[in-house]
Amino acid sequence: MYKLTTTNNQPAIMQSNFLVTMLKKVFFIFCAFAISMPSKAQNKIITGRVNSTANQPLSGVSVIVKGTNTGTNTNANGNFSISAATGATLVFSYVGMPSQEVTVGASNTIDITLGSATGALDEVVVIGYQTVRKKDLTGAVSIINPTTANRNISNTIAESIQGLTPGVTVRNTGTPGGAAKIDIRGAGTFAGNSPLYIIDGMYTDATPDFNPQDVESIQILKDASAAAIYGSRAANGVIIITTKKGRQGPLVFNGGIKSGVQQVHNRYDMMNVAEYRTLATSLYQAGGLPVPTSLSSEFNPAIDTDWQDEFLRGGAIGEVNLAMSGSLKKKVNFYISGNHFQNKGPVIDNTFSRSGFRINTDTKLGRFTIGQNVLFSWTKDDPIAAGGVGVNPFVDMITMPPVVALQGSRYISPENPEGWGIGLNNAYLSTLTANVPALQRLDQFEQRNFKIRGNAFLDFKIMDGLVYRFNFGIEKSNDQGEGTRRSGTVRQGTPSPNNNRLSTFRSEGKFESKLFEHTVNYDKTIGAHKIGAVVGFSNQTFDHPIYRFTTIEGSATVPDPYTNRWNNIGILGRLNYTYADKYLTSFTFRRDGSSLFNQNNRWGNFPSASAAWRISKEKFWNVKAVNDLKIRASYGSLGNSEFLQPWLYYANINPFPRAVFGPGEVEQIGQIVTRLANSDLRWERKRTTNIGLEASLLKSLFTISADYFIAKTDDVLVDLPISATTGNAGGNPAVNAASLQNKGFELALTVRPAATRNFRWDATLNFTTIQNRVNAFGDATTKYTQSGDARTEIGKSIGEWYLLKSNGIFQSQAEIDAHKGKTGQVLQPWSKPGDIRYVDVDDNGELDLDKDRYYAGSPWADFEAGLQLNASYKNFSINMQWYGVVGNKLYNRPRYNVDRMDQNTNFRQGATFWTPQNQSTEWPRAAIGAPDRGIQYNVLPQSDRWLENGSYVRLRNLEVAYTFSKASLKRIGFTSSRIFLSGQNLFTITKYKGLDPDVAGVNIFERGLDNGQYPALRIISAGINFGF
Amino acid sequence: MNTIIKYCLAFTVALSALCCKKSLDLDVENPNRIDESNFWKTGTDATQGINAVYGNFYRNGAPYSRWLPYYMDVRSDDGYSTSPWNELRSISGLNITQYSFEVNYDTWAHHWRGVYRANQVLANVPGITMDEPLKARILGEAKFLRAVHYYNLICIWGNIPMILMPSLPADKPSQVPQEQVWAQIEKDLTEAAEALPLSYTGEEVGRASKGAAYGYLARAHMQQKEWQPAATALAWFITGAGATQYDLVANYRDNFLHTTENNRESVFEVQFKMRPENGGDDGPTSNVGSSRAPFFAPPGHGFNDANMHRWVIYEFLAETTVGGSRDPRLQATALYDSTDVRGPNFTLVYGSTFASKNYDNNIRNRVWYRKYLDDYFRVNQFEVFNSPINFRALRFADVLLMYAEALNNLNRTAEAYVPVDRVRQRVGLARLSVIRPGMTAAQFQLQLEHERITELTGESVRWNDLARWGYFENATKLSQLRARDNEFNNFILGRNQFMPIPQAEIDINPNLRQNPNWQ
Repeated sequence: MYKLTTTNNQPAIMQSNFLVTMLKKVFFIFCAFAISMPSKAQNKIITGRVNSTANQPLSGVSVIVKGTNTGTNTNANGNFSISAATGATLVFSYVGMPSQEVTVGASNTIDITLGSATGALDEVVVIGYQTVRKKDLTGAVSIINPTTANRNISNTIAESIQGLTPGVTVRNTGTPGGAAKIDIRGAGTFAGNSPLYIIDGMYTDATPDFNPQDVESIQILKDASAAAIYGSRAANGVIIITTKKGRQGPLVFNGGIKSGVQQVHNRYDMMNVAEYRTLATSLYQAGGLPVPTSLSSEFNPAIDTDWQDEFLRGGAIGEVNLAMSGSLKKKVNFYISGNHFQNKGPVIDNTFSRSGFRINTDTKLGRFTIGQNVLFSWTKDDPIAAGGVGVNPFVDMITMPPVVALQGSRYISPENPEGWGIGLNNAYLSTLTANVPALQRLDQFEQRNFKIRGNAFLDFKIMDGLVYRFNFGIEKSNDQGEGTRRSGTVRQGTPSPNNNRLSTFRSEGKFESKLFEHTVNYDKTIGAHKIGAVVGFSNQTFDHPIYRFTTIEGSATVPDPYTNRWNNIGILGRLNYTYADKYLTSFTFRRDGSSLFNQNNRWGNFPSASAAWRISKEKFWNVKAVNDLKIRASYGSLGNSEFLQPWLYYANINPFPRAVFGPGEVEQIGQIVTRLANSDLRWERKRTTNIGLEASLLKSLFTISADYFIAKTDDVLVDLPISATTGNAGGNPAVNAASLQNKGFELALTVRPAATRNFRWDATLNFTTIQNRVNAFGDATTKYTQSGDARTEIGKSIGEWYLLKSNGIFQSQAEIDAHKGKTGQVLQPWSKPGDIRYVDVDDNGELDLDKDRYYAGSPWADFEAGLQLNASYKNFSINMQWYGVVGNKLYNRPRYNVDRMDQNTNFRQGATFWTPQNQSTEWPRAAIGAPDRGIQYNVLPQSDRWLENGSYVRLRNLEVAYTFSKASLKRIGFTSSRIFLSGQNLFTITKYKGLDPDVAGVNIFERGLDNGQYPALRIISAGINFGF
Repeated sequence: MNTIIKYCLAFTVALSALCCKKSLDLDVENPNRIDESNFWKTGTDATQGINAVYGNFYRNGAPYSRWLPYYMDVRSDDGYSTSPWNELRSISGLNITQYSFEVNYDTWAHHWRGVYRANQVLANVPGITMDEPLKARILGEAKFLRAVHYYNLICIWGNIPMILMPSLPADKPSQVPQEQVWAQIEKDLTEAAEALPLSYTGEEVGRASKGAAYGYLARAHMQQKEWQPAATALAWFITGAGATQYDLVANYRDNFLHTTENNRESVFEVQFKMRPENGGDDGPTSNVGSSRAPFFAPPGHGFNDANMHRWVIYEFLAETTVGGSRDPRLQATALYDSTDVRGPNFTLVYGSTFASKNYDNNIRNRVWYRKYLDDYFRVNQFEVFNSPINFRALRFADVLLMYAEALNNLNRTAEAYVPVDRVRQRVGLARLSVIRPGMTAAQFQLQLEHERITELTGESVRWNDLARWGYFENATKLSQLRARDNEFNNFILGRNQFMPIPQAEIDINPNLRQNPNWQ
């Protein structure tokens, strides 16, 4: 009925077509803008290039004519162009490097190198409502170089910064358009552990709609004193993203094209049909069941389905960017960019695309400065279908036996009109695995999102050093989902109207958030005293209606529109005081109110304080080798309520229960509380102590930053499972349930040797170790909470694996008889030779499935580390990002499904089972069918048999680039160009047997569970950046 | 330019003033749902509240929904399972190791949901100013429904907490002695029997009636072997007000069809309705049908997750009707090669003959529970989770057989013949008083066991019958079960009468203790 393709990838053709089309579109838009923007220089035009000491072009370097508001940024190739008069001073500054001043002379060209100077670090860091010089920081703040982050092809900013800075743990999913999970300094709470994102002053969250090329700077606020200005939203840390701004000067274009291929880099090595047939036959015989005829009389050697091949494919990515910046009549600075990203996922019928268009402008008019930053973005997502009872695509693709055909006439039935291969519940073939390639075709769903996100501000300079700002932020999005499910079951025995009849699904969601802020900033330097202060008022509203509409064969189901609304109010203030660059202090206070709590618990106060001492500035400091040394300490309190939905503090009446009565089967309306509520919800509160050190050694050959922190969170909000005896339904109620503690140590070390004429290199190593511990549950009777096979217990880390302890395989009856408890009783009298020996952990003389579990490992790494290496020789450069995680334990659920061998699934290559003739120390006795107790115990899911070491080291990114010389570019009118070849996740060293050890986990309590997640992908791409 | 700035400023101030009015309010109204504080105010609220308790019957683990037959029928000696779902099979196999797996967890949890809902009605409705007779009826319904949930909970798990007030999230109740739960069940049912009407009319038919309360009260006493109170409750049906209310229907099979529901034999029925939506929770696409049939239907029409032992068929074949034909109940009870007495060429399996199915040996000899299958109208189709057939939770025939059992145990064996004969005569069997007069009480008990098998197999009473008759208490009687059902080889005295409490519950609530020998 439907034409099927078994090979379906022609990425190169597809990509090049759409790239050309996109490029044309983007160009058209830009030309239209460019025509209307003449640029006329009053002074002479200075052009030049800024390189790092590693001879890397530095993009985003701020170039300002000192004492004026004229300024620009270097483009992707380090080039800039600025209008300045002879004798003026240009100030070059860049995050993470000392700034330089150069006086404009006779020449119209200024090329400089930024980097290894030993002077003070004057660059400016955004810390929320204020900016400070980096050297004045008293809290723990990480600064990410967007150029490094952008080397990775990522769905979100979070994904792009994996391994780039200490204290920030990122776990990825390969899902096209999927969001990575990010923890800043461990898990300070059970749920809602995502940091707050501030994009150009707008409070928002991580979304895949963001164009990474627009990013000018990324700062991560990690400790309480740094984040306290964001009070109740900041407990999980804050990621501040500033987008690029226009500067005065001639019109500058920057663009880039990137294209590549993408794949699941690893596969389970499963049996072919001949191997499967042999093993499955003997397993059926061992279970005393008749061998399915698909393996015997009706065996068809022509069917040998590789389900991974049917489900997976070669993916592709493509991205095109073009940005234009400059100023209009020297008054209105603008930055405009367009971006299109397309990802053909490595799974059939799975794609994601994103288009973005940004306009940032600002203008200065006397005492006023008015500006706005806005992003329009469109995303389109065709996700993996997983609808249906018991469907888990990345598990089903390995469990489905190869003897099942993808499609065939013998499978045709009223429930399966297209004849997709599934278990038939008869003598021929019985398997509960789903045909996921079929589901991908039957279930067509597409999610489209349009979003506007941005802010507009007005600054009024009241007097010198005193500025009022009104900031209005808005995020408005429109989600539309549309899908059709053709009829047809994809798994043995899962009929239901929903998959036996044609159904359509439509959803509409709107999200609108508005931010209103009034702040007053004060900055003053009086001699050696430097004061910076801000006070303000912040107010954000949220409105989020959702509407779903389903029809089954034309008849509509009851619609259930639902709207979430909530408001936040904050009063904030901060005072920074510095004396002689030696003694630095900062005090912050924020008071927040939220509609998520009842009247009595609505408001929370969140203060913090910090101090730093630059010892190297003291007169007594005479350690020549240490040219800069600063120690800092902070303490503060932060709030959190991110996890809560509106109105959870009272119980709603569920309007959906129905009772059918009478001969007419009338559905009478029922209403009642089905989900319990906790009226006493209150702010979760996190208190952090941080001690840090920053040093620069041997004339800045080495720079070091180290931090130690202790963060305690009380009244942790979570929907902890409650007893079913309460009768609760529809989700557990939120409670302030626990106290947690995270302690950690972070280190970043950079070495940047002096460069030779042609060769330069530098390296940055970061290292993080975090220990978390549950200190208390709010309820005195609660000692632990169990989720699946992981347990969170007082005194332990969150979600440690709590499992039965296996100890080899009984090789003989004598061994079974000898395996006795302390009372002399045989512990596993039901066992037969070949069964797994379990340890009587509690040593009470009996084997008990509950009490004989032990803490078998932690999902938390002992430490993680990242390493970035940059080197260049003449015009060639190479960059490497390494990332490693050591000491965590993962539960391999996909392997459990194929290794248990008591169900009709495919098996891993080399799988076997214990028989007297085939004594194994790895593979226990197994059988398909009605297994005895011994076999049941061999396949218990709560066994450490399924636990694996999750440590890995990975070459996260390797990029080789060539930068064209200016001279060669002049002929084609370009000012810069660079080509690169990049490989992501090229190789991984790990013992983990699953598809990928970078496991995001199911939830905080089962953080180490590989439940068949979308693995991180290998991407090989090439591209070009250019400027003109 | 200055004017522009002024306008900008004025606009800004106006905008921020406008926004503040609404956004500064931290009391955000919920536009979606009413909440507890403005519910339980009117008679309509009370009616909708009690309706929601009935609504719990449609959840998978609730009484008489998807999973209960696994506990009451398949687990007993008349059933077995070869389900490829190991955990489901382990309920029938009496060797469950995953105590928290979906079926055991949902059956536990969904029963407690019913308790919680009934408790809300009982706590809130008394304070409502409303029509007093209606209020009394609603409270009676709530007590009845609470008792039904507790009856199943105590029969399945034995040692359970007793919760009589609306729950709070932090509640971690302890178990109470079984007698205490039984006493509460009896109290609720006694009060319900007083409050409930004899019958309903029109669109209220299907609500709990006085007879339903008396019938369940009798069940509660029977299960505790309190024969006199059981007989007293049952006598209401025979000599009391119930005598004119109930009768056996002429055609036995009418008890299992959706076209003959709420008939005179029906004492309490769970009301099911077929519509396309069959969502598993209380949402806009909630199921109001029964999802039992797909699990019980034969290959090609269901999952074949449960089978009936062939010995049950021989119970029917042991005796013919006075006219010399086969017991007509067999055809209604079992689907197998000879459901039609003429054999596989005439037996219809969802509209096609058994012979045409080409089952292999393994399948050909199987027997499926036929009651509550939709085989008579889903011709050549697969079963769906939304069957319309009401579940007859308590039939008058069961009342008659219980009455006979109570009388026999009170040494009134001669009187006990009468209700049994009434049940036998309906299907054309000879009167016991004619063919087996003068049985001793012990002989009569054995006869009753046969009568209950032939009348009630597949109606979720077998497990409790076996428990009441002492089969789970001594090794000799247990060996009879083992002879009939080898799954009972896994039955351990002192363990398997009760299911293990879901481990997840014990993990959450340290006050709960696992049932004996399941630790």
